[in-house]
Amino acid sequence: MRYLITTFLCFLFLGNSLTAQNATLSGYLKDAETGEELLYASVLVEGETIGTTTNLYGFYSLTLPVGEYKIAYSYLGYATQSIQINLQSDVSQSVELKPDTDLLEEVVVTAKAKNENIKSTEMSVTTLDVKSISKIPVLFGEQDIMKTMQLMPGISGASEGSSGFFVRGGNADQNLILLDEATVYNASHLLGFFSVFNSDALKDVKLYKGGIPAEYGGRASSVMDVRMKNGNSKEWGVSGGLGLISSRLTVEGPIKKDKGSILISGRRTYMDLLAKTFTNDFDDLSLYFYDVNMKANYSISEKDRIFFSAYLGKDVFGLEDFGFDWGNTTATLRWNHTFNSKLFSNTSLIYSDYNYGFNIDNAGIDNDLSAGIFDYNLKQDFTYFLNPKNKVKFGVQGIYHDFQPIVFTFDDELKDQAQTQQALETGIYISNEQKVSERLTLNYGLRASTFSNIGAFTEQQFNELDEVVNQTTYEQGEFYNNYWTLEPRFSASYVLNPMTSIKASYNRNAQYLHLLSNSNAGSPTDIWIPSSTLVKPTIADQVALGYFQNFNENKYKFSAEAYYKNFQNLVDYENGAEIFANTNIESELVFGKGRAYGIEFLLEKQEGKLTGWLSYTLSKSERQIDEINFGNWYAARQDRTHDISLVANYELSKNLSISATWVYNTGDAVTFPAGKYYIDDSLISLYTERNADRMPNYHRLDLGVNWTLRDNDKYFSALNFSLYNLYNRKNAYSISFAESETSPGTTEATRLSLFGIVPSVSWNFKF
Amino acid sequence: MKRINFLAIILCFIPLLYSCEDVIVLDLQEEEARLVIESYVDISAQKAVTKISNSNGFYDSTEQIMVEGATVKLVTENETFTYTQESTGVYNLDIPEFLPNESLRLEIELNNEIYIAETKVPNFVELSAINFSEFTFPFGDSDTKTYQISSTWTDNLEEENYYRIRPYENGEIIPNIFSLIRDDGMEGKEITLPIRYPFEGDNTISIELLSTSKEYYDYFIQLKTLDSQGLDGGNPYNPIGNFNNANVLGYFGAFTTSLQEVEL
Repeated sequence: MRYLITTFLCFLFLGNSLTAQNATLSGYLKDAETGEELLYASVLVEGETIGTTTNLYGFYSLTLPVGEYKIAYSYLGYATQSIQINLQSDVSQSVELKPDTDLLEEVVVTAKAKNENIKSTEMSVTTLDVKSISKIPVLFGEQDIMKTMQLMPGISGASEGSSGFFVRGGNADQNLILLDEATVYNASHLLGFFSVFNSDALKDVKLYKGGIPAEYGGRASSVMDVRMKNGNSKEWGVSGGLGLISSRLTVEGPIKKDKGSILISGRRTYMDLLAKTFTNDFDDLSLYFYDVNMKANYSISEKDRIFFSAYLGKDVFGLEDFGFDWGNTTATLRWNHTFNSKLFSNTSLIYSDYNYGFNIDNAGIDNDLSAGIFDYNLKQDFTYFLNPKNKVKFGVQGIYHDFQPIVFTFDDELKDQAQTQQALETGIYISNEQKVSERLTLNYGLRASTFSNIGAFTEQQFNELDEVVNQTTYEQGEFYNNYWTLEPRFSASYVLNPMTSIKASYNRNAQYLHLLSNSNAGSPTDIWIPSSTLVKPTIADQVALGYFQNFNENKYKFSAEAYYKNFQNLVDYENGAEIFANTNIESELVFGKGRAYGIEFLLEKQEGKLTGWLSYTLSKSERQIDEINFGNWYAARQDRTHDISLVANYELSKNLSISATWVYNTGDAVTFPAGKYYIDDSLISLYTERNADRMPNYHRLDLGVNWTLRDNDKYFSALNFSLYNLYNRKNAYSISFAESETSPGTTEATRLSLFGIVPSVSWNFKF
Repeated sequence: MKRINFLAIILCFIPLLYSCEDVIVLDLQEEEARLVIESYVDISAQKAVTKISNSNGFYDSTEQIMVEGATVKLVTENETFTYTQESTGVYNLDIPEFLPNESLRLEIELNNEIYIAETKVPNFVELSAINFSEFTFPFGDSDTKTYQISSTWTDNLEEENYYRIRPYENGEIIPNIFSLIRDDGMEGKEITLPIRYPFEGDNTISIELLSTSKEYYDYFIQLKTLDSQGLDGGNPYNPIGNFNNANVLGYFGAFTTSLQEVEL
């Protein structure tokens, strides 16, 4: 590590000496109407191929030989602005771009510049422009970025209507989900039908399936980086929506014009209230979620800006004598500082928690159970715009994890408690994006991560019968089980011509936290555990190759990517594990390895009256655990051979558009009974191999109509109609096996289909 | 601990009642018939029962394929008892009074194979009370009055204890209820276990507390976890019993019983 730092410092010094005759142009790119920073926007010297992109805070820096330049600032959906710059010394130039209303009508799920997909070293990346996804028809009319992501290749949904997802054959817990840099441990509301992300409060979403940059770490399969809006720094405004099952309201405005802004956005479902009007069965029922997003920012000087963002979400489920609630809380305090025109710094202090609790009133006695995970995270990131050919990123991060596994109380008296656990996870990284030649661009980096458990804790070892055979006690504050991993990250892009490129990437990712779940669709009681002596960190290595081709002046974009991913140290429950309220959960675990490989195709059309995309994934994902299937490889539950999504949006007129999505995928790998027998007069199913059967193939067509009632400078109002599952396909959510009630003496398989045709309407407004 | 029925939560979340159930025919794998041995010793009733059957295909008739021609023996430290076949595949035995912690061994000879399993006699634990209260379960017929019942007993401090609650409605056992608990963290204390089942009014309900051997508990707790895997289920498997031949399905266990009755 010392060698790396020394090398890097030499590199910086050399870089500075080489650029002595140069001057730097730097500043921010913003939306002219709202003051929101534009992320990954393009800054190009006109007539040349030199340029850069803005970072996650809208900042750019471009070092050029002194001289006169015409600089083009562009961002898809905005009118490009060209500015003449006389660059004799360092120049600070912030630019505001005006939204191009015609372009805004498009559905955009892509990189920002028109051929950025060809030039950038990024591959295996999906970027969602939150503003632009509103026309895709969705269940209950509730826009959800996580469901839209599932329409892209390599990303598949956990189950019908679910916002949970798998990336390239990885497990659901291998996705690092960040909201303004804070880890979101459970990104689902209401058992997965909604994600925790309220689209009204979001600005940008980027999902890395591979080629994961060195600044991210902690999960094996993907990173989903969600950024909240800063809030309008020009004028006060209100926006929101009324839907069948939930409503949203957002208020945003300047704290001081062009200096700072604040945004508060809230959402609440009222399904249970509606339900009570239909039937008395729901009289004692509470079932709803709410969430609140808040963000404020203020520029305290030209070089310093402070951000504070927070999220609070809660799900509540209750019956007469039973209550159950769960939710996430996150808070992020950030300080942006530009040391000079080349060096940008961000310091973040982050808090995140996820917890759940039960309360059961049993004959007047309160039984309570609670569990959770609490994170305290300090992060320092630098971006050094060395010269137009090198952009260096480096930083350091430390997360203190506090695990509260299970606490039981009866009538407020502590009855049972699993040991709390603490751990420290750190990461230090450096990476450089280097334009080696006009055609070849490299992005290489290294992340070193460590993980240590921290006492006080008594660690237990178990025998084959899950009995404790030995235990070791660690003192308060004592570090033990110190793991470290070097995680190389590499990606390269070779431009064959302005419309064609080939790319390659390799990344190693270490994951020190593991989600234990015995439910395929995920449940709120799934628990996160740290790596330990017994539970080793999961390591994933992935290589990917890609071919990128644009047609018709970048109107059509095509990509094909092949990947191979190898997993070490995967964790699963053993058969028959006692999970709920188990205070000794490590005794119930088994360990193994995995592999996933596939090829993904994506064809997009981004301009014209008809826009949309077609994606197809051919893939395989397998696991090997000694205790399962006699140690033979078997299909992972999320192994879907074929996965197709077709998304189309057609502008009938300026105010009216129709959209449709069609999805098809091979059924999940599952274990069905191969026979039956009786124990205790109950029918018991007989099973053979793990995941040797398949759910029926899944397909569905959704249709949407978007009707803009009014759209002017002061007021916006639109109706969205959608029909989910238009041809009423009975897709199996689950299949159960039991003795037939209608034909005694026989057994039958019963399919549960959750959704037939689901019509919905929502009204969205902004003023 | 009460079981959380996530499927019920899902269903109540979709009050517009989009969901529907229908019977479908699947092309299931076929597995060769496997031997199933269910054998228990009821210490309180002083009887032992062994049922031997074969598994059959999922879509085959639900009639159990009982297996006859076995020689079944119960071996204690001092004595060997031989079961008699009461009906096809059902072997019964009247037993004397056994002492707690006495070792019991089951030996079955069938088609030149010997199947062996062992267990121990558990201590007797008395059910001290059952309580019931009116409780409306969602999704049921709201006109029918339903009750929730909980049972209470005092754990035996001296040893590890395993319990199962078995409910009866008008003398008939209610199938598919695997309500089990062990005394971890509650040694020597009063234990109250509710049964989340909608007992209907105007019925006689009996609650039976089984103080079971570890082997009995270990087998039935697997049935319970299989039964309670929420949503679309976790990973199903064949519960593992305590026979020396891993290919045999079933268990050999022992229990004492204590019963109380209530008119709802």
